Order: sequence, then structure tokens, then C-alpha cells
Amino acid sequence: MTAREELGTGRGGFFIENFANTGLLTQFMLRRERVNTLLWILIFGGVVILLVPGLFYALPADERFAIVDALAMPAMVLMVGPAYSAYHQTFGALYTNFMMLFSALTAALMNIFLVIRLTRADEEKGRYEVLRSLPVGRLSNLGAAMVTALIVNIALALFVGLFMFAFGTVLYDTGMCFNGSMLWGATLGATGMVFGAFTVLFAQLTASARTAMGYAFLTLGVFFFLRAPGDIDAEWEILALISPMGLLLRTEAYISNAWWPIAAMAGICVLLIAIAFKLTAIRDIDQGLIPARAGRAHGSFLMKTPSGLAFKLMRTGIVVWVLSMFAIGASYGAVLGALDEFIASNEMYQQLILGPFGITIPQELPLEEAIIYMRRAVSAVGVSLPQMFSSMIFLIMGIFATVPAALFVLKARSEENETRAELVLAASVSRTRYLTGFVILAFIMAALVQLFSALGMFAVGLTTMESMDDFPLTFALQVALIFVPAIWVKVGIAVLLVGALPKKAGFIWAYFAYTFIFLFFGRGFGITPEWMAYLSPYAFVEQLPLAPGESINPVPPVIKTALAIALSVIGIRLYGKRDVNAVIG
Amino acid sequence: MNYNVEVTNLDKHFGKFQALKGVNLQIAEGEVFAYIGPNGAGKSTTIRVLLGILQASRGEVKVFGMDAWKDAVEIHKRIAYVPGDVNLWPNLTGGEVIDLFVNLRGKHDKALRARLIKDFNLDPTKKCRTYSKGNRQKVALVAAFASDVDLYILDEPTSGLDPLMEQVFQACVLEQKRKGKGVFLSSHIMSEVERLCDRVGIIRDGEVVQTGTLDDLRHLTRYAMTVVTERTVEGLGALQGVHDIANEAYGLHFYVDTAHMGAVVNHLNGFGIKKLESVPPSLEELFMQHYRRESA
Ligand SMILES: Nc1ncnc2c1ncn2[C@@H]1O[C@H](COP(=O)(O)OP(=O)(O)O)[C@@H](O)[C@H]1O
Ligand SMILES: [Mg+2]
Repeated sequence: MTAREELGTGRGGFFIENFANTGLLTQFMLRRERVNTLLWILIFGGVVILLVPGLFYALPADERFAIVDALAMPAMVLMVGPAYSAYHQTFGALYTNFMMLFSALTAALMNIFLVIRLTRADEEKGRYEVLRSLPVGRLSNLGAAMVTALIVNIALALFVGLFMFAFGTVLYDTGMCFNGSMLWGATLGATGMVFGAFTVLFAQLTASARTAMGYAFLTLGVFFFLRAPGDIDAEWEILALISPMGLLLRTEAYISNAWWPIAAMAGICVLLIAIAFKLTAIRDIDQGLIPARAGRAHGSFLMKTPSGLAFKLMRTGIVVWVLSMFAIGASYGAVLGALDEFIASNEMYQQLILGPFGITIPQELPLEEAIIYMRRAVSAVGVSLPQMFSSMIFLIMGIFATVPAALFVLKARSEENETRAELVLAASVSRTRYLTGFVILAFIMAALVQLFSALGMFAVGLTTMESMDDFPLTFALQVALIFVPAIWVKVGIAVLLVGALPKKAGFIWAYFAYTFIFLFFGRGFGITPEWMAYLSPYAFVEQLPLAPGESINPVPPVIKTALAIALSVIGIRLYGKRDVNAVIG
Repeated sequence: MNYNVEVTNLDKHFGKFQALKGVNLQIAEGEVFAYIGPNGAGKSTTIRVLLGILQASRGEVKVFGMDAWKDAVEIHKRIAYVPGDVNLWPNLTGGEVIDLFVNLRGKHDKALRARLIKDFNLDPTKKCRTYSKGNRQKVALVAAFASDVDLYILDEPTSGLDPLMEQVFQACVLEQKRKGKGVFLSSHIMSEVERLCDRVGIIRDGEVVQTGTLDDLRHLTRYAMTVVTERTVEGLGALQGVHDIANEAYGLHFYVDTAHMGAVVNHLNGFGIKKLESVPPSLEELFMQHYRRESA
């Protein structure tokens, strides 16, 4: 084999051979994406902007800082980032505290979708090949995709920045300064761009659009959870700094207004994009650098049953999810050993975590003695700090674990969408058995991810804690597995949607968001009525740790499991009765 | 002579799999060249190497005398490509896509574009997601023929077209041929090849097994013969190039390799020919023989 000429070096010159017509392609991409991106920017940006007056009036000034304490709870910090508003009591700080992380997460998602559409999806569908037969440079398409993403992100940043200032200061006088507003927008844009750059990199590594997107989501999820220990405990701040999701929170818009994280993120983008350019030059069209292994010529035993087929299709997904959940659990396991100091040194945590058990540490004690005092007091109650802490963490991890389980059910739907289901169904597999295969897998998956996150937390906890008596394996398993029936209920609802309203099966994500908003924020802060939380199965999960002598009430889990099975059965039966690829519904 | 395409000892590996094995091709300026071979033979792979989309593992690939990989941008200014399976952007109209392609190639001729759209009976205002396979192919064909280029590379371009549109396509190719443009056509439609092409290359399992004019190729194949003679024919089976002799009610039936035709007719003369029919191989048979011969 001859050495591979990576970049164009021909008679057109370096720039022409690699970047010819990038401008025209960019124009073309902007035209292709005009409707899509405009909607994203208007709707997503609009929500971010309108929540400024929204929250300003929903939280009257005298009540506004009552929720600050709650924002400082570790579980809350995990969800929304450091409790800035605890030390900087302005509405702007509160708004950033509440909204920044999730807004940035949404911007990241927008960019992942956008970049996949512009790069790997085009390649997979054979459109890129036609473009490459035109006089465009070797890197023009990627270059144009990145310029397009940059333009979209700048538009988003300006839209959000300018209107936040307009609403925040001019119209509603909440005192949000111009610099902070522009930084807010810039933070969203920069985060979006970073994840766009990650996506374009994965698009070079993997062999299909779907895998590339999977890696991008996974990266986003891992960075989200990776930063959390750093946000919760300053000793681990390095974890937040190496994660873009943590980095973005360091801009502290409306608080200290730091622009350096934007510069850091710009640097990350340049690096990632440069690597992607390099990689695209050394791979063949339609191929990834992580090669898709040669498949079997004959079906293995798995291919004999619909469950086997479902397993086969989702195999990589299963492994990746299980390992990621293990890793996330492990990252919290790392914090377990440092809990004593961390709680003993913070009065607010003491109130939140120890208060319900009637423990107060005398203020005058020095730290070391306070720790000893606290340990004694806690063990006298019969529970432990790691148990209390892990219960809070698992409330969120338990909700999050719905994602892989629901994905598996929706996979049955997407197979149908892409008409592959017809092939299987035509081969004398009854439809009910076909869907049942995916559903069984989803049920197993729910238990599996919970099991592995518990094991991850326990395994790393072993190494960081002096004694595991405070956090026995049985407790780790309990606190994780108690959520499984609730996840199953969600799986059941997803199955029902696939059976009854196939076109709307994505509603399961809306329900997922509902759970977060009304159970977590709503109930946690008393912003929304209590009954709204009860529309989610998670409201019926018993809060651990239990006081000694009490035992878990078996009735709610049994009811939830029965409900989940009933919903699934109904969904599967409806699926058996409706048209495959139904257009209605 | 100037060549549009010169391929010398081209190998292409995909990992361990070798898709092209020492391919050699020479296509002169203004020549219409047909590239045929069974599915998976390596036609599309060759074309992608010519387009500089895939890099050759070994060998030299020149288009217009320039290196297909290094000088891709310069080459592409003078090339129009139509793939067999055209995929377009679902939310753009056919007209928008045609303009993109034509603009990227530089020169464009509005009147020609309008005429082609009419000839191909295409509605350019529809979104691509609503087009059938044939209509998507028409978009790519219009974009190709509306560009003023020197070489058209067409990879099974008519696989989704109806016979009427097939005619329009052939007319377009012949028009380019008259203008002295080169065409590299990979095709499975024999009538199309017969009507349009100057020369044919046959590829099988990554190797080019035959190149030449249609007449050259015919020479390598067999005629079907039926003969009635006064006396019983003897010794025919011993002759070189005679195959599958069968004594039928209507006479003696056999096949003869074109190269040995003369000797066979001479031999038959000795038995008093009453009736002699020879049927030249159809292109279909010709190709079938080539395909089969290699697999044997
Ligand atoms: N990107 C690729 N990776 C691996 N194998 C490939 C790739 N592209 C083509 N092949 C293989 O190379 C051979 C030739 O394919 P192709 O050129 O598409 O054939 P055709 O003559 O039908 O156009 C086939 O066996 C095909 O499977
Ligand atoms: Mg092909």
C-alpha cells in the first residue's frame, strides 16, 4: 500500500483542495436547516427568555430566597449546579442557579442533532458522495457544517443574550446586567459548539449516524454526572473543571461574570474540530475508524426468537449503558468517604440532612470534634450519612434510568418506522411476540442499570470509606432497586404509547420531563401543587433510609409492578391489532 | 492520444477484503465507455476511486491527466456524476438541489436546465421527500446534463427510470457524444450499452476481464448454428471451437466460437449444405457467457 496522502495537496493548492466552496456549502446548509434551527432557537430561546419574568413573578421577593437553602442540597446541586444564590442573593443569580445547566444541556442536544444531520447522516444516505463528486474540497463539508453550527450558536447566543437583557432589565426591571445577559447567551452558544464539535469527532470515529449520536449523548451524560461531585464538594472541583458541563457553570453569569470558561470552551472546540478534520482525511467515505466488525453470515441462536433479535440489535447499547451507569455510580462512591467533613463543616447541610433525624451539632465545636459528635449522633439514630446521601443521589439516578429502558421500547417503534419490522413480521413472527421481545428486554434493562449503578457506588465506596458498615451492600442494592418498579411503570406507558399512539410514542420523553419538573422541582420547592407530583410513579417510591426497626412496605412496589405489566400487556395487544406503520394515531 | 481516464494496476482494499485487483482502464477523450459486471464486481468502487472519494490502495489513477486523489477539486470542475441510488435532502425542492449542483460546478445554462426539466418531465417545485426513486434520479440527471463538463460518470443511472425516460436519457448521452464529451457508464441495460457505447469493459470479482468494442467482444463468443445437409455430417465434434452438438428434427444444432467460424463452414461444405442458419449472440448472451466463464 502506498502511504496515504491525507489532505489535498494537488495543483489547486492546499486551501482549494481542502476547502474549496466551503462558503457555498455553508449557505446551502443554512438553507436546509433554516426551518429546523429557527424553530429550535425561537422555542428553546423563547422559553429561557420568558422564564425571566415568569419566575420573577412566580417567586415574590420575600419568598424568593426561601428556596436558596434547598438549592444547596447535594441532590439539587447535582441537578442544577453550584448554589450560587446562597452567597449572591439577587434574582439574576437565582435564575442562573436554576436555569443555566439545563438550558446548556438543551443547547448541547440541539447541536448534536444539527451536526449529525449535516455530517454523518448525509454520508450514510449517500448524499455526501454526490457532494464530493463536485468541486468541493476534502474538508469543505465538515468545515461548512462547523461554520453553520457556529452561525446557529451565535444566533442563539445573541437572541438569548439581548432578550434576557431586554426582559430582565428594560421590561421587568429584575436587575440583570448587560454583561451578564450576553454571557448567559454566550455560555449556551459555547456549550452548544463544544458538543457540536464532540459530535463531529464521533461522526469520524463510528460507522453510522446512529452510533455517532449514541456516543455524543453518552458523552453529554457522562460529563453531566462527572461534574456533579465537583459542584457538590470543592475538594473534587477538578472533576467539574475537566467536564464542559462543569466548565460552563463557572461563567457564573449575573454573579461574577467570568468570560474565561468561554475562552476555554472555544479552545476545546478548536482542538476537537482539528482532530476531526485530521480523522476525516484518513478514513474512507462511509467507514468509521472504529470499524464495524464483519457480521456473521448465519444467524446465531439469538436470531431464532424476537427477544434474541431485540437483544442483538441493542447489544452495544446495553453494554454501554450498563457501564456508564456503573461509572456514574462509582463517581458518587468517590464522594462517600469525604461526607463527614463535608457535612460537618456546613451548617446548611446539617440542617437538611441531619435535621429530619433530630440531630443538631453544637456550633462551638471545632471541626474534628464536630465530626465525632455527628458520627455518634447519627449512629445513635441507626442510619448513616452515606445512606442519607445515596438516597438523595438515587432519587435522580432512578429517574434518569428510565432513559435506557424507554429507548429500548422506542427501538421497536423505530424499527417499524424504517420498515424493517415488516421484514420480520412477514417472516411469520406474530406481532405480539415481536414487541414482547423488546419489552422484556426493557424490563431487564431497568433492573440492570440500577443494579450496576449501585454496584459502582458500592465498589468505589469500599475504597474511599473507612468501614462499609455505614453503607452495606444490602443498602446500596435496596436504595437503587426500590426504583425499579417505578421505572417499569414508565416502560409500561411507553409500550402503551407504541401500541396505541405510535406516532406520538416520543411523548414518553415529555412524561419523563414532567416527572423531573413536578416531582423534583415542584415538590422539592413547593412551587407546584402536591397532587401534580402524584401523577408520576416516582412519587410512590418510599424514601430511604428507614429508621431502624422499620422495613420496606412491599405493597407499593407490588402494585407498581402489576400496573407496569398490565400497561405493557394492553400496549402489546393494541400493537397486535393496529396497522404496521400506521399513519394515524 | 489524450485520455480522459487512465487507470494503471489499481488495487483497492477494504480492510482485509480486496475489492479491486489490478484494474487497468484507458478511456480516450470523447469516448463513451460502458463498464459492466455482476453485482458486487467493483464497478462503484472503481468510480469512487475515479472521483477521489476513495483512495487507491495501490496503482495510479488519472483523470484528464491529473491525479484523481490529489487534484480532486480541479478534476471535479470538469466532471458530472450520477449515482445509481440517488438520495436527496428531504426538505429541499428538486429545483434547489439542481441549482446547488450546477452552481458548485460553476457554469450554468438556464435554458438548458429548463429544457432538460421539461424533457425529463420533472416537477422541480416538489420537495425531495415526495420524489420516487425515478424522480430523484431525474434530479441528478438534469443537474448532470445541465452542467457543461467534459466527462460524465454515470453509475447505473437509469435503474429507476421508465422506458420513456430511458429514451430521454439515451438522447442526452448521444447529444453529449456528438459534442465530443466523454461518458463513463456503468450499466446493466444491454440495449442501452449497445446503442450508446463505443467500448465496453467487463469487470468480475474486482478484475477487468475483457475490454474492447462490441464487435471485439462478439468475436470472443459463440454463434448458434442450425444446418441441414445432403449427407450426414461427420467429424464435426472433432473440430476446434464447436460445442453442444444436438441432432434435432429440423437439423443439426450446435454452437461455434466466432473465431472458428470459417473452418467449420468449410468442413460443412463437404457434406452439401442445404440450409444454414447462424444466429449472432445477443448482448445478453454475450455478457452471460462472460460472467459464467469467469465463475467456471
Ligand atoms: N466501504 C466498503 N467497505 C467494505 N466493502 C465494500 C465497501 N464498498 C464496497 N465494498 C465491497 O466491494 C465489492 C464491490 O462493490 P461495488 O463496487 O459496490 O460493486 P458494484 O459492481 O455492484 O458496484 C463488494 O463486494 C462490496 O461488498
Ligand atoms: Mg454499484
